[in-house]
Amino acid sequence: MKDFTKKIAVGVGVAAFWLAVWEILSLCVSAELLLPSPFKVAATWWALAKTAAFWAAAGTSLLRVVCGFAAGALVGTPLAFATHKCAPLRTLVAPLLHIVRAAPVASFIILALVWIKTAWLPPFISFLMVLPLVWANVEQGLAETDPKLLEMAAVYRLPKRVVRRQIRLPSLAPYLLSACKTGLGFAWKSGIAAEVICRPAGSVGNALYRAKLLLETPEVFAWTGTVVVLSVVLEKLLVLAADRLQTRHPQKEVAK
Amino acid sequence: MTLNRLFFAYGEKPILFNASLDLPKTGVVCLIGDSGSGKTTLLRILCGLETPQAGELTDLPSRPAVVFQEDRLLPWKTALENVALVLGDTPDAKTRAKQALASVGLSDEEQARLPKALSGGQCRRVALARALALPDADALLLDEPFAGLDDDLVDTAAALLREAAKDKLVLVITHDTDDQKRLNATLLRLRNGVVE
Repeated sequence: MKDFTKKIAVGVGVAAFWLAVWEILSLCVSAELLLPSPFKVAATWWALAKTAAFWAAAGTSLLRVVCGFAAGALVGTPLAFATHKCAPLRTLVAPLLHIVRAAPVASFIILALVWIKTAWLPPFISFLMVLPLVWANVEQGLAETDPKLLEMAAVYRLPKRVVRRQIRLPSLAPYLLSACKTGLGFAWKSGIAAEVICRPAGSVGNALYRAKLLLETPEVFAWTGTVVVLSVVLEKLLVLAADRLQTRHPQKEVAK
Repeated sequence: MTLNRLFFAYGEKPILFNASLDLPKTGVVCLIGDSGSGKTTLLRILCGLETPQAGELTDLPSRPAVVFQEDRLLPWKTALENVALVLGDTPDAKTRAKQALASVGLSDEEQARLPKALSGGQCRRVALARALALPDADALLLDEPFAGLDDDLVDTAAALLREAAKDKLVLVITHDTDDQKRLNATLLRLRNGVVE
């Protein structure tokens, strides 16, 4: 409890410090268009938060990002199992995924604009960003499962389902969770970037674009803050899941 | 169990040359040899983890219980869970695992610990208990089973192995000649890849 209070106090202190820096900088710049004060941004956010359109846009973007992320994780994980088992498949798939990982997000967004309906583009881009990340991490986790434990399991004739649940999954958990945590950040960044470029109606990206067009800098900050808060909330939910896993497998250092 | 003129090499490096061995169905056999003489490789062949490049193997154990050179315990499972794991979904798995762990001198409190909270000797005892607990094992194949154990615990473990050897083969790989006396075992020596 004491540690928790200390952690909260440190968090509040750090936030207060950076807000003070921001306020001082905005006073120095003295131009709302370039850098609005945190009070102005908070007031703008509050005004936005009182409208139904704000929550609809935040909810829609959240749904798109979560769908893209979930699809990336759900396809990337079994794909990693498949490529780990089948070397020729790995040889075939790996270069493609490496290209997807290395290519600029903007290139994919522009290309995908031609192929896909506007509303589907953000989740598709999030999916593309998450897929290679989850695939690479899960594959690494599979490769690094202790072969000595697998030999022990083979000698004691442990059934495949037991090996999967008791050895493979606990070995894999830290890699998968680490991939999901990083992937979630990627999904938000790429998903919102895609929304800004393709501007689907009633989305955070569209609102950001409009705010920028109208030189409403406080609104740009307010929408960006909303994305950050949503991203942090989702990440905390993932950490909760990691905690649960760690309770079940206490020695495993699950990445947080 | 019979091994006839086995040859085994890791890549270019030969480990066993024409190794022949006749092992009884019951009793304790100690296989002694220096480091690098091929003892562990022979054990891996006997439990099916390696296949020799030449030679003949007959009557290999169908259900061996093995203590490896390393303990090979699941670090995310308690001592009790590690032993119960190999016993499957049988209703008495936990009871049997508890009995096996108690027989090697581990208390209830120690049985509930994760391997990282146990000493090296205690982990060794868990590995030994895991092998002893397997009800339908037709052979115990043990690689340096007494490593890290105190003398009194070695005597306890040796008594358990002698008891187990009444209805199955207990093959102990060791480099300590005292183990043969403790176990009242038949002695075989492996030298430069050849069983003498």
